[in-house]
Amino acid sequence: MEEFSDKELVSKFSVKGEKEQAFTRIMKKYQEPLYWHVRCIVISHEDADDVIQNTFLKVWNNLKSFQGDSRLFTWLYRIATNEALTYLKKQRRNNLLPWGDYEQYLEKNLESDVYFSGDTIAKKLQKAIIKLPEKQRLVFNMRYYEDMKYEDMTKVLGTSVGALKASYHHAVKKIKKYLAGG
Amino acid sequence: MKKHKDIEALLPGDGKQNNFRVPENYFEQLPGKMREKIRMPEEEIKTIKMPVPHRMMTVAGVAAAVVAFVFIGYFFVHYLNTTHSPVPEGSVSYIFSTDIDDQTLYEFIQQEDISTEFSKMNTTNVGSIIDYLADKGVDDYLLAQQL
Repeated sequence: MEEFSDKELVSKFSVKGEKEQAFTRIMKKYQEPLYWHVRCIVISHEDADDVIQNTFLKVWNNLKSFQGDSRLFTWLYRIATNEALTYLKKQRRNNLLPWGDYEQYLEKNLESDVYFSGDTIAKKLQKAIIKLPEKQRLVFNMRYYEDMKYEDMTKVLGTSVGALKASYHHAVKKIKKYLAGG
Repeated sequence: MKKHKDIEALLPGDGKQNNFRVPENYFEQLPGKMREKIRMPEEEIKTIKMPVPHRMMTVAGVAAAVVAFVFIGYFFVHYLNTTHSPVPEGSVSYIFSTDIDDQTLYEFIQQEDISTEFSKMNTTNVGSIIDYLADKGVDDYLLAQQL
């Protein structure tokens, strides 16, 4: 398949007759990194599947209004992150959990997820990540698992590099403490 | 990776690895699934969207609740205002309903002509001061103004 740049794909999307093909190419290019990003936030495959489909539906409906001020990659990540957090909020409401507390829901997902193949220590690391506050959890996952640059993270999360570094530092400290704690 | 060395040291084996899995051929099938979804009419995708009459009923219900709340609040406040008539400003009871501390009252007394006589009482107790003022017939409006 011929390789197109993001800019070319975005402009093809607004051309009648090429819209769907451009969209499929964007999906094929970004579906995996976006899926893993979402999966780290919502934990279970079923939830990640729902979120990723909602994300691409939003992309389909809004790509024509994408101005190109930011990179397509960060724009997509921002939509996926917002969709994942909104999804968790809905789950919290449906499960009558306290405000902002997704921990129980995510731990339950982790325990019952048949698509998690980690051993005990890997599960423990995931539990430590789940226990982090929302922002720290996002920053840790994006930095540790996705190797995302802080400069890109600022565009996705709308936080300064300094604040992101501080969040990552606090997250690492808490995880180390949790893992060493037996 | 060097930057994650501290955490990886606590993990056995490869340390940083993705332990999440997806069903077989998931990523191959996802674009096809999405194509089907975007070809669907919008109403079928958004299945939870309420029909217009239902939405109007909901909005009307919320509006009625707000109006009822405002009316109940108004009558409650009105009832409080009429059943508990406010204490007239300047009366002795008004002065003592404003939580004036003993020291302030004592200082006021010291400024008045009656202070010489009052100082003989050698007290800063509000009760004694009130009794004293009542005996002397001090104008409570004047007292309120000063305080």
